[in-house]
Amino acid sequence: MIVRWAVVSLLQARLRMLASSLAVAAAFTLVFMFRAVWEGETRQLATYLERAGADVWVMQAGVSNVHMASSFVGRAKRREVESVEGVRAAAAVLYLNSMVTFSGQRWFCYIVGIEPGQRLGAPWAMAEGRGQVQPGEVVVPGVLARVSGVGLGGSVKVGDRDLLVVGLSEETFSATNPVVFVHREDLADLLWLEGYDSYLLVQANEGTAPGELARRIEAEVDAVEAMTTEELVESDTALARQMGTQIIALMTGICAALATLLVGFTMYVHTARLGTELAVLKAMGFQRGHVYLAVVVQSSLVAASAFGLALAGTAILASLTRGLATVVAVRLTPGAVLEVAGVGALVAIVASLLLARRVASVEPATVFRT
Amino acid sequence: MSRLALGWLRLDASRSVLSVAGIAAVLAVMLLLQGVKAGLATQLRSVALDRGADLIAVQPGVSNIVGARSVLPQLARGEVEAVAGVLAAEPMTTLPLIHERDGRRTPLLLLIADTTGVPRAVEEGRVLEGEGEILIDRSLARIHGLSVGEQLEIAGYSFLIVGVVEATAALWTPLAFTNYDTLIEFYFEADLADDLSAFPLLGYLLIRLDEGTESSGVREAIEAGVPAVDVYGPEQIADNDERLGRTMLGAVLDLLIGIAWVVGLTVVGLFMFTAAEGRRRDIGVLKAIGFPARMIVGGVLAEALMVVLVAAPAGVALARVGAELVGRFAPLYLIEPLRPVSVTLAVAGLLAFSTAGSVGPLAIVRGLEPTEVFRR
Repeated sequence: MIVRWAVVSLLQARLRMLASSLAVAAAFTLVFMFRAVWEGETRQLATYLERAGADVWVMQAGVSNVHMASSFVGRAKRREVESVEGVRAAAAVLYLNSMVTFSGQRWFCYIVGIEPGQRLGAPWAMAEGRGQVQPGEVVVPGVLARVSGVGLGGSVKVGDRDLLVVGLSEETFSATNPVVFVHREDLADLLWLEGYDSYLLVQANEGTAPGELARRIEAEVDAVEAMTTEELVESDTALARQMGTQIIALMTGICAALATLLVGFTMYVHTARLGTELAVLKAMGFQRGHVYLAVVVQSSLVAASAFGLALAGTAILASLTRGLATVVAVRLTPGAVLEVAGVGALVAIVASLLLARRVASVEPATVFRT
Repeated sequence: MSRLALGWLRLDASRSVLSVAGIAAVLAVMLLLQGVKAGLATQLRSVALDRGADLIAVQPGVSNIVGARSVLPQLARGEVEAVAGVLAAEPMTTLPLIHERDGRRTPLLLLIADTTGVPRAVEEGRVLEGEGEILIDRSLARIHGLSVGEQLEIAGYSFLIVGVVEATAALWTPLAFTNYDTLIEFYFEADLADDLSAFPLLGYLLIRLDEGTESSGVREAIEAGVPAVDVYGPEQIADNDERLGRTMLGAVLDLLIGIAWVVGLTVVGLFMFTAAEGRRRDIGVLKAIGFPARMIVGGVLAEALMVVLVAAPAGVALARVGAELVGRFAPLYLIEPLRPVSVTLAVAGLLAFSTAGSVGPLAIVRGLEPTEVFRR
């Protein structure tokens, strides 16, 4: 009965409840968007690793990342790796994390040096032009070409040299680390580096498990680290997530505190209006615990409706973001939704507790005073 | 009108306090987010500005310290020092590394220099003196629970932590500092590679000028006489590093800040709407006893204004406390929430939205029959 009363009394103040739910939903939406943008950008970082075509990546000993890392392995290592049982093909890329200038605007890019004819590690989907580069040429992400206005036949500056854009690749853009492809020699010149590769990309023979092959390469080739693509993707996304974990947790905490305040405020205004009814309930013999239960039910309903509205709002914002701000990747995971749901439940409980004293102080006799 | 507004505020002090707290919290969220962007720029700029150089020589085509790999030929130092007006050209190298401890990996940027370039003051411990020593940023110490006297292991090599320095992170990556003797030892003893020729020894030259020397003239003379280097003032490199941060994270941060502002201002509007709508009965009573509409509207607006005026300093203080707490518990992030432009814009936005939110329910009250309020 008390639960029914709680629901009915809440529905009687529909307009106020809608306004409150929208306000709380706005706070939850903010949390969702923080997580969605961070997750989207983090996942985007791994796209090159996933699509480069390798089963196993071989790198300098002690290195276990591409993101924020540098790796150098001697050119001779490639032959050693190719001779390991279970290796179908191996190719090398040179890699540098550095600035590339697109019509005066600098972008921090993954610069990948490849050789003509190389398929492993080269662009896998093209919007326009070709994916193979000769010295003096570059393939850039199509999104970046669109944003900067540098198209096919234009030039971008890598280090101190201007390179001709010969291809626009797809799926290679992220706001934090777009991938550009240059000829290996150009990158070697820029790095002042001869006789080195950064990563070796290995394809396994059919029937050979990538994990098993990686362990075999580490056992047979000195001073290298070998990781399956899955392991490397996990390692890179974990590193990127860790860099932002604290700030995301912080923002989630701030927004959760804001949502708590909003739910608390709503319930405060609501219970203030229902003072007489609460007094009647007490006069009718309902215990304090029943009245608390009513407040908890109402807080939970506000938080739950806000959560639903926030999910809908985030979906709309995410699609708007994809449409308008093509440079930012947005991705909402079930894990993030569950985490925010947990925060929402906590918000409802804490907001109810804020009102405990007020509810407890309602005197049954109040009903006769008005 | 102000008496009416004050009366309403006093009538239910708890509600007024909650209103002020809610709006202050919204303002704090908006300022903190804006502060993340401002702090990121400050951190990036300080990498170049704190090196103590009058000019910085880099590999041609490179114009950053953060996110760049610069390699200079060994002979460049002597050639630069031979240019008139140059007092000294001290070498500096940067090396991106990843430290792993207990399964947690943190990227760090190791800055190698002997005299100019390394911090001369530490928050804890002492400055670099010998081989094998390292200074680490406070954020790295906090993330991994490291302290002075402990070892920092990278690629199988153990650095001895002799000091902890404050606020030397960039792009959410902590900096660490060591000297050239340690770098050489690290290259030879760490499990890096069979052949070490790929690893940089000289990345930058930190140039100090003779007293009273005009830097632009010396810069031109170096670039004309030493083709292996480009030369920039620290301010230019700082500008470039800041621009790098804007390019990398600007779109993401601007999107989040934009959403936070829209959400924050909407919340304030809805907040005031709920507050004013909750006062519907009081307003109805005033209307029933003959208060003119002008006075009621004025009272509602004055109440909104008073709430925002009290909430604004509270929100600014909350943002400042929030930034300090972040500095203490997550020192990797510098938050500068109190830029005058941000504060002014945020307070103006709050005023506009809270006013709009408060006035909304008046339309409902306008249609309220005076007798209706006495029915319950």
